[in-house]
Amino acid sequence: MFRYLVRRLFLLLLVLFGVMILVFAVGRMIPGDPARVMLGERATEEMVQNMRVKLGLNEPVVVQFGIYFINVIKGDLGTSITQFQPVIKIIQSNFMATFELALMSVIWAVLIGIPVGILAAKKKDTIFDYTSMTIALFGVSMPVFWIGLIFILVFSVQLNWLPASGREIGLFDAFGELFRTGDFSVLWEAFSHIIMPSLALGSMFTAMIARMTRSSMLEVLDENYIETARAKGVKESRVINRHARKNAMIPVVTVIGMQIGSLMGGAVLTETVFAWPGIGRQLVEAIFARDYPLFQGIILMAAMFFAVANLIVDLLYGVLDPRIKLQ
Amino acid sequence: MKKVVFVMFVVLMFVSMGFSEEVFKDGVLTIAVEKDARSLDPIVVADNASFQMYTQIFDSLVSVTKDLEIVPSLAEYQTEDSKVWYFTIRDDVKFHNGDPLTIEDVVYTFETVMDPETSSPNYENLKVIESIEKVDDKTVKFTLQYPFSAFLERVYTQPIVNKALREADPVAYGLNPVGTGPFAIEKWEKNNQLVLVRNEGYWMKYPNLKKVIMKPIPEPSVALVNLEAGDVDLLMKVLPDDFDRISGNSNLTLDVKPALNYYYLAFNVENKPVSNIDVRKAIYMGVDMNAIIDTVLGQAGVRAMSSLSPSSWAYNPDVEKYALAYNPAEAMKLLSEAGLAGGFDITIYTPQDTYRRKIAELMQIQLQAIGVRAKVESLEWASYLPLIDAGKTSMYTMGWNWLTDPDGLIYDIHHSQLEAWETNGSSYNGTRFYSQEVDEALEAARKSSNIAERTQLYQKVQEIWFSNYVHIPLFHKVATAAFNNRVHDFEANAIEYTFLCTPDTNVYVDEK
Repeated sequence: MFRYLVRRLFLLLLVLFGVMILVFAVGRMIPGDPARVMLGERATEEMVQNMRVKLGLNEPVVVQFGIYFINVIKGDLGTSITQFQPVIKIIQSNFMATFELALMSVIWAVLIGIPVGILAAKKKDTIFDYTSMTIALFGVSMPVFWIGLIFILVFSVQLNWLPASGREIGLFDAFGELFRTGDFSVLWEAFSHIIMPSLALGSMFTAMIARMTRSSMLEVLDENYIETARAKGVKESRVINRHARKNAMIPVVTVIGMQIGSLMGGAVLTETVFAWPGIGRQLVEAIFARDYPLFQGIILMAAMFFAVANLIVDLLYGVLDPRIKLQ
Repeated sequence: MKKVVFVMFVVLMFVSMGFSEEVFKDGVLTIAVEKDARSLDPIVVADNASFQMYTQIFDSLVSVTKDLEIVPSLAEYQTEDSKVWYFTIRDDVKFHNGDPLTIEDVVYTFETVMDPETSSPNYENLKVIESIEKVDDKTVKFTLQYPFSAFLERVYTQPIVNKALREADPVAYGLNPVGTGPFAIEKWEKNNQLVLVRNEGYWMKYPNLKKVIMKPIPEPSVALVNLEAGDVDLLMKVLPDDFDRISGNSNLTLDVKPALNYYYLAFNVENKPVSNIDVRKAIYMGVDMNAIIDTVLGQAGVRAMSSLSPSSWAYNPDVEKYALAYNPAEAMKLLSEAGLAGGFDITIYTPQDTYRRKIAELMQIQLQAIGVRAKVESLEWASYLPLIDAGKTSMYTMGWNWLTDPDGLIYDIHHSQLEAWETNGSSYNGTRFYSQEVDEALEAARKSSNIAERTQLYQKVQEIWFSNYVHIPLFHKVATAAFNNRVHDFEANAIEYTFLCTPDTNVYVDEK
């Protein structure tokens, strides 16, 4: 187990190194010059060249990468070209917002998707099954920003129940307030802002989980050991809860692991629609502005998250299915 | 007796209430903006998003009225020949942290911007300054490279910073700026909100707003929803599609004003086939530009005839005759005379904003009929500008804006840039059209203070430029703002700045 962990961590570092090279290379290949962007339309060639020298952009690309790599090892992700702040600081201040959003999306997906999937499997070919799977099809097919805008239209414009955009207070901070002062209104404030974006972001995920859970459950329910349990006279609820569910969860856990990583790095559309101050928005703006250190740093961080999430998922397998021995 | 006193008291109360139409001074104004500032340090950034925010925190030596006339702000100014300028600062100005404004702050601000090491984007606006000299504790002397009557508009673009604080840590200063302006920073949550509070000791006047919150909301439709719901009080940009919706809302006001900007389609006259003036004219005739502009912009803009708008004193009405009417037959005739009867391929480059992109697309459709097979490429700025610099764009759309002086409005886009063109370096003018007359006229007009003389020179520039069809003038955009009826004393203005507390404005918001 320990050796497995060490090996996996080593592979993780290798993956991150690969990501670093890829992002660096592709970033430099896109046409465009951050110095030119920063200095704007009123820039002369002399000013632009000055800035390029200052930013170290005139060195050969390999040298630039070498410098960047050594800095990253030392924990320095560089300084943002457009915001003049250390990249780490920018990521830190925007990280929580995206993490909250991703977490809430996962929670919705698990809270809604799994029970719906299990129920749909149990009630296969009933109205419930057909309706829920059709809704799930919608969730998977409709683009996130469309779903987001529809939510805003219905819940903010027509019903005036929820604020259209923004983030007044973080979810964790709100919980902290609640524990300290017993004030529920702060929690509602935080919740009312995050509910639509997280549902929109999680819609595809929830739908996927529901469908996967259903099909995985159906497969498991077909298995020999389920038939045996039923033949032995085990109560149906016990069959589902004790024997079927855990095994059905394995492919679902895989998908959850993959999705968390992509949720972290890709909440861009949701964050743009809902004016959510996360790192997704920072990433897009950094790319448009050719802010190399900033977008390199964000992508690296997202890759790390993805890799760690997958590692945790793999470790979870051992818990879920003792047959899976980690080598 | 008691009853009489009581009644008199009540009457007095009512009477005094009628007299004290007090402006509510505890209002909070929430503004939706498109993008967050990159930094709040006015020396290292000058992009519009950052400017709109730091302009509330800082003052410049001069300011402008609603009608964009220059008036003294932190300093009084004086010049005899427009070459040497004296600025004398006021005695009563304090920074938000209590530091008094000194002449050293002024000198430091300008010297830092003028230092190439700083890489300040405002360097270009101020490079006319040859030397800066402190004359005494209250006065600074600017010597320019040549007499430049429009210098004050340039001075307006540079707010004054606190030397001691910024010198100590310029990066921190950009996150936590300390200025002399009407509002001080309370907190800045990137991409979420910038919260400003009233500067109680503001030297110019007592700002009516207790708090100003600026929220970056990238999606215009979401910003509008926020306005309608009352979560936001003011929108600085409104799309023409939403005009009717806002006008129809009894709680909202839509303000639309002509703005000082110029959007155009430029030709790179060194590239074939547009190097031939007849081909350029043919392209012009091959599209119904008036109809295109009307369709795309509607109420959001007017067709431009020249690089200056008719409201400018230097506008040359004669260039209107160079506007070519829609005439595809004539266009095809010109093309065949130029040896291009079989048509040709060309790419129209545009940035990504909706208006210019749509105009290019409509042009593309119409040009097909005369055999011009146009492609439209819509690029983001970082890719777009270098292509223009490299001379690869035979047709491209651009925009430009400034305050009121024609020098700031057209010098940079009409003057040749021979050195940059040679080296494919960055420049403001990608047309590669060289006319010694245009250059000389622009340079002479810059150095003159005589309005009649300058008018004549600028008219000559426009005459040469548009008779040669270097640009097809597209449109002048209007400035728009939409706000809640609780907001008072706010108006959209021709330079699209957010004026909240300026020499002749002091916005206030009614109690909720």
